[in-house]
Amino acid sequence: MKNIRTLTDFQKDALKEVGNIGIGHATTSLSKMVNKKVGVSLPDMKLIPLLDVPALVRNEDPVVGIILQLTGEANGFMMLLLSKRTAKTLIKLIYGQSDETQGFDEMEVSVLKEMANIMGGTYISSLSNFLSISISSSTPSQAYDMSDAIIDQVLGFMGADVNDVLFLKTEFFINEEQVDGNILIFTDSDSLRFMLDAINRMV
Amino acid sequence: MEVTVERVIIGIADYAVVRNPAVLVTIGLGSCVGISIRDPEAKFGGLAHILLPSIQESNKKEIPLKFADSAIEILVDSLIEKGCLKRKMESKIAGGASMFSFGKSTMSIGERNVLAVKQKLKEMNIPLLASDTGANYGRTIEFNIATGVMSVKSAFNGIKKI
Repeated sequence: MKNIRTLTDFQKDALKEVGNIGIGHATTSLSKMVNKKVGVSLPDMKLIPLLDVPALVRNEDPVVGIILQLTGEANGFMMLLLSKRTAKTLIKLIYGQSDETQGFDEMEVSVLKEMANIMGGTYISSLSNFLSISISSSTPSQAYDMSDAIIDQVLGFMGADVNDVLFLKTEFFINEEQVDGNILIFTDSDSLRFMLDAINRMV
Repeated sequence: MEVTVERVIIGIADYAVVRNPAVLVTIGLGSCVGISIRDPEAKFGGLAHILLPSIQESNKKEIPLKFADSAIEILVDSLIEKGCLKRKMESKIAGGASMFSFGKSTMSIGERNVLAVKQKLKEMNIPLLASDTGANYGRTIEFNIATGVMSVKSAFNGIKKI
């Protein structure tokens, strides 16, 4: 399969819109879980070399990363990247309590995973319905560590044949709780053809 | 008494070879592995940050520094070019964690990376003096070429000097 390395303006807008709709649904599901208004930034979407990703998400403090692997006609990862404070606040909103401990206990981790699972599930079903392509997701996995190491691990998961990635980054925020986090979507460039073909069928 | 030495930061699928004194740094190794090689007599050392085990397994070979086997060759060749002798070279490695698990029983990328690095070093007859690999946390490494000490930092597990 030919590797896609550049996108036309139309393709870019269409992919951005598709991502936007998916993220919109995912944050609506988050909003229901926390019972608060959740805002989202416009997605930042780039088709870039895989190795350029770490510089775009660098963070000095340790962060919470929750990832879901996406497989099917679009392969990649969805990741929630949260500061410790944001993660603790979200747990408190969903579960009713959270500890001010250094790390995250088993209960807290499972709350975070469940949250990612619901958001990821909504994103995927919106994407597959909209584009009529089939995508499924793994169970979520969580880590609280250096942001570079978390990204590094995901780049490794992308595999030996992936040099370019469609990278979508959206910020979400709950103003009244002063929390914000990032939703990152990594789609390998080989999957782009399926998505673009699906878009072409629609227009 | 602290003397300021040159610090060179190495990204993913990147490497550097520099003359003593210098400290080579790579930030946030997850499943990746950082490989230091130095020739203490020639006073040159290098560090590579690899992402995956083998270029043989890839259909896309444009970035040989991504892979353990091809990156180690590049690192060693580059040291030889600077006048290092292969029989004087020594190595230390860190990284290869498994931070996320999806409940698969197959060997993790981190484990495969470490294995591939060890295999390649053995094949090239470069002794592996020390390593800090595996587990489930990320590592930042600083390799001091002059002393040969690699300090391995993690977010919550302190600093190890190997």
